[in-house]
Amino acid sequence: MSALYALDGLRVARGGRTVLDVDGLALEDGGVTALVGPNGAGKSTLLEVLAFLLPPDAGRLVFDGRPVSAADAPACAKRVGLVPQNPYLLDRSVAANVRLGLTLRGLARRAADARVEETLALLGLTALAGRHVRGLSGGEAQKVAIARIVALRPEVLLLDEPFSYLDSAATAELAALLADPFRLGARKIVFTTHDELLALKLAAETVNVVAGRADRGSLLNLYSGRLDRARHSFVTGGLEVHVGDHVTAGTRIALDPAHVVLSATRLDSSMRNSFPGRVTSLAEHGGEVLVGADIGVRIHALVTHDAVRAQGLQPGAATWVSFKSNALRVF
Amino acid sequence: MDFFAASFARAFALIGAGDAALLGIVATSLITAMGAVIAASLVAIPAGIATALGEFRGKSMLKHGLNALMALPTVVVGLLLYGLLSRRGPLGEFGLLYSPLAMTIGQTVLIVPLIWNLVLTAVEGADPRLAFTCRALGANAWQRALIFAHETRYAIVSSTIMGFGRAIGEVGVAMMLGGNIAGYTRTMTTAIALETSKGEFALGLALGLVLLAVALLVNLALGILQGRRT
Repeated sequence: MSALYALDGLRVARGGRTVLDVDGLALEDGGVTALVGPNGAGKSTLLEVLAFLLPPDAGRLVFDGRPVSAADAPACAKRVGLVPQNPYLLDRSVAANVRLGLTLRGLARRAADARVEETLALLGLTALAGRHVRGLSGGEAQKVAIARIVALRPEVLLLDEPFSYLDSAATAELAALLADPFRLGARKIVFTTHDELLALKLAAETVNVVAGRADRGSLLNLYSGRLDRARHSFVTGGLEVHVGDHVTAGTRIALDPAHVVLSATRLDSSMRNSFPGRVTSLAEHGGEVLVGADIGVRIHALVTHDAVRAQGLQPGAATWVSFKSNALRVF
Repeated sequence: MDFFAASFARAFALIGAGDAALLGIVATSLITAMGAVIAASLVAIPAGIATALGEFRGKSMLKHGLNALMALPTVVVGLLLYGLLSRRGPLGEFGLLYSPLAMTIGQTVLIVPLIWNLVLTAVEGADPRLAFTCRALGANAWQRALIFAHETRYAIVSSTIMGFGRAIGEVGVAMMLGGNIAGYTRTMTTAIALETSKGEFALGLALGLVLLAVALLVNLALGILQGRRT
């Protein structure tokens, strides 16, 4: 699949401090992408850049195959819709809020009415159309904010922490709504979250955002530490892993659980990283089993049901955990 | 004590009887103050919104200046405008001095900084998410100003009511620019000062009661607006 966004050497600074520094990142065209990271990691800043609301201080941003200059940004911004975290709804009715963006873009009254009606129906908000926003629940308010942007028919729908103020029922309802961009008339959805499991469940593509740096990689096996260039290793917690001699900088590593191999005995292979450990958890994950193990740090491996049965993997069981150096993403 | 009670009784009797002189004075006060509020609002509301939303050099100094001008002494405004409007002044040829229009102009000058500053504070105090919402929806500067005006409308109306309160209750401008001419430029405040100095305490008191009622109504309106805002 081609990339809808490509970011290269992109940097954003605030008050002389770099808050976003993305070396090379491409976001697929289509589907759902999750930007995952802790609070203050730079997710919202990245989203503002993707919405063309925040011009980067340096670097190159390519959108839909074309580099975006400062002059192009306003036109690109009209193709993208951003729902901010804890969105503000105007002191008006639900329908008036949904109509707002259409009015600002100068849509004729009749066309705007039809669009509002259609959007409210799409998000299941028709019954609330005449209600004042003051009386809405958190989930309803979030849906109204999304409807306000969806009414503009953006190609890309960006959502900043859309689940952060919702209870579990509202989260499930919104998750179902965001699962398919086409349903909302968009070609892509990008959302930020600090909930790794929710990101895994909803998004086909995930991007880690940590301390202003963004990188595609595993969300489950993500570690921070320091690089020892002399030993070509990365030290995290009580563990030292070999990262290969091509790595020259980085403070975090990510490892896809699918690239982690579990075995009953130490493998005689080219894999430079092999550690003894114990199984701590097993969980069904997309037809396979996500096995958690403790090797000094907590690590996850995605294995088949057959492998679980053959190796007798169960909580407390001893196991060897192995992975190749080139399976590690250092950033 | 008898004098005080008797004065109150006479004052209520004057109000109850709908005394023509008293009604004329009240009407002059209301008309000039309302005129001043309308004129001041036309200037101060857009200026307040623009100042709050704009980024420009000298903004901080302007805000300090507006803060200082909120407490502008009415006699100073009266004095300056007297100089401008008097026969020998630069605007003397218009013959405005000692007219209701002169009082309205003076009261407008008096309350413009007040309304400007209150609107500025209201817009600056709006929910910080509103600015981002406007940006995310692609609002231009004009649209953004209208959205902020709508979202802070109760505070903006409150500021005009406070301006009305200040205009109707001031005496310096009305006295110096209106001249307290009976049946023409006599307002409640100038009449109270005059009648009391003449020993006509009852009429002064009656006017004072009406002024107090107006102040109470203004406060009631503010209370209702603040209730709606919350």
